[in-house]
Amino acid sequence: MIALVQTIITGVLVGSLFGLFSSGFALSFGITRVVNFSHGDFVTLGMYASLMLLLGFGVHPLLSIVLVTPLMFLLGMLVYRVVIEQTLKRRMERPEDAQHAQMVITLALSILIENMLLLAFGSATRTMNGVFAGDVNLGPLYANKAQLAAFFISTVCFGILWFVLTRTSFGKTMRATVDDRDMATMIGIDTRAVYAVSFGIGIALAGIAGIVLATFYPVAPLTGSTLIIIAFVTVVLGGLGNVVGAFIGGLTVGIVQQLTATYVALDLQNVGIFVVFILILILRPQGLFGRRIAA
Amino acid sequence: MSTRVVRTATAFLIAAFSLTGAVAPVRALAADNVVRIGAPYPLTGAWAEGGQGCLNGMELAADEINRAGGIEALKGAKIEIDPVDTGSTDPTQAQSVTAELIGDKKVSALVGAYVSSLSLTVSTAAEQAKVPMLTQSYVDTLTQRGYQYLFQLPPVASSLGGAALKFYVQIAATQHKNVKTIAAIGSNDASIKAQITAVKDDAEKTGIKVSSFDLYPIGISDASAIVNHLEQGKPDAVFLGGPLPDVTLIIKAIRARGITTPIIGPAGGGFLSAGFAELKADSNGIMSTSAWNDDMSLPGVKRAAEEYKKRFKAPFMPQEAGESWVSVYVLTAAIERAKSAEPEKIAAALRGMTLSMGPASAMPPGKITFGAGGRNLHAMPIMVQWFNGIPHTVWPRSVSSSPIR
Repeated sequence: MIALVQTIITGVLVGSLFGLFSSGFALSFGITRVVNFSHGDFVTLGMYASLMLLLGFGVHPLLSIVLVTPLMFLLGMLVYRVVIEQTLKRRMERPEDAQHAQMVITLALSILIENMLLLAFGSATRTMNGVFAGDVNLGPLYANKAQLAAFFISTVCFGILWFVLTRTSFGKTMRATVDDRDMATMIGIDTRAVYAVSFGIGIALAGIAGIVLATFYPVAPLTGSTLIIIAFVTVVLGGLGNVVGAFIGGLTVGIVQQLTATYVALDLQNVGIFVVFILILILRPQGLFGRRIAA
Repeated sequence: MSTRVVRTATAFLIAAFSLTGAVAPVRALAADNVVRIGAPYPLTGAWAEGGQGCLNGMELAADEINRAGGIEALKGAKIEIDPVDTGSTDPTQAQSVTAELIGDKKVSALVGAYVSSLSLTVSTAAEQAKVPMLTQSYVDTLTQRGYQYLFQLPPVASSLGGAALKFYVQIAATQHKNVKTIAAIGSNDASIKAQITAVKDDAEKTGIKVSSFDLYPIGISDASAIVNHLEQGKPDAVFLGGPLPDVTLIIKAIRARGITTPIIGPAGGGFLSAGFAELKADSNGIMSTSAWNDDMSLPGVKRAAEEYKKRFKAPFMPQEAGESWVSVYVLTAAIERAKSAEPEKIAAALRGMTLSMGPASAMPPGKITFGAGGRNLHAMPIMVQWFNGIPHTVWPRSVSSSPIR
């Protein structure tokens, strides 16, 4: 029983971080309809920013969140305006063509970021030492301090995001833009700005996830590209474009991964995720929190 | 008239092709008296650091040989290293770029390709072109395919795993410790899986209990399940293998839980790269079997290690750089013996020679002979122990440079 509780606790701690970077991915997709293949690489950028600030200036990762998040937000807006928006300006024969172009562009962006990091830092793995080191002992149970910190930061960030989306006028403009872009434009919403800001917030969340992840996960130029697969599964599991669904999907993925690793086989931990993923697609194709669209 | 022209042209072409064929055997030694050695390595992507280390080692050896007057038997011919980027992930691409390198540069031999999965296909390109290839890769399969032009310098993966256990039991005995239970953990890729399975099998054969045997997927996102298994089994030693990011994550998680059990790597993977030092204090005391280390008392090693550290601003000369450095000396010795830069003659020389002098013999135990299948018959693993960011050779005592800490 203790082993089961321990496994679930670890799953929740790991899953909260999956939820954080996946909710950024879901936000970008839900509002802009852009499938951002480079999302994981912005997680890596956050990791390197945090590591460099710690090694170069002794800045604690918690303070790095305050310093790096606005920069990541601006970077996200810049990427949207300079790169993504170009695909919307071009006249395409079909709407899917714009999405195809976006996929290729974000994939190219991913390759570009990875190779820039390889050039700048080499392929060697870097490690953050001495930050949130050790485990917290809760009777017979353990929680890794860094993962515990990641859980609290992820939960707070997600709470702020949820508040902004549901309780502020900006959140309303975002939701209005998702529901009907043309109508939103007609009533005076600057939908172009809404798209850019949404994309920026998505990238900022990826950056925060990276900063937190770097406290316990080795930093390497290709780290983020391995996370994008989990982000895809999480987002589809929770319901495409649904931010709450993405966060809960992240927790689900974390718990399933840990249960499979502990009770089935360690090397099948990701197989467990994909089994649940396929089951959800069969039983509830719109995802756990997605809305069924009428034919 | 036209028939005569066609016949003449055909005859001319046949003569031209015959002539090309006739001169082909001497093309390996270029007009500028240079012997070209191909270096197919992953120079981009996840394995780029190791691939670059191999290339650095080869260039260091070539410069040393060229400074000393070049290849004597070929009137002082200089060695030129011709690198090609195989990439890190696509063995098919590695094979095709190697085939192009052989065709374009007319290399006399190859040394490569660091990563076992790449070496498997690169060696196929070499075999098809009948060009000898020396490899630093461990995987047993390389020299189980009956290839005639492949020569494997280090011990094979299965022997490294067994050696890790044997050496650690011997080391523990010197510290009056008895190894009764071990845990074996490794990534599920071919090379590491072979090594870690060998550890488990050898432990069971010698009556040592294996408290947990875990294979994990590369790119593991959390090590809690592994640490939980370890905690339940309370082993006397942990044998751990895998790529650097994964072993870093696992070691940090083990130490975070307060588990101070000795950790031993069965060679390869992350335990022997410079990045392992990033673990700082957590790396101290960790051991790994290895095929080469830069503090061994073998000919030329000390000088090469000093130059490598200075030239490439590295804390030490890594294993793969050392093996590549030796490989260039081995090829030079074969060319001297063959008195030719012809690939087939170099391969024939490699098959029949024993090297026991100079840098060409600088693989433990100081002797190299390639058997019928291309394996180095004398290949011997060594044990290194990390301390203050540097791996020190600690076992066997015949080659050790530092005491066990």
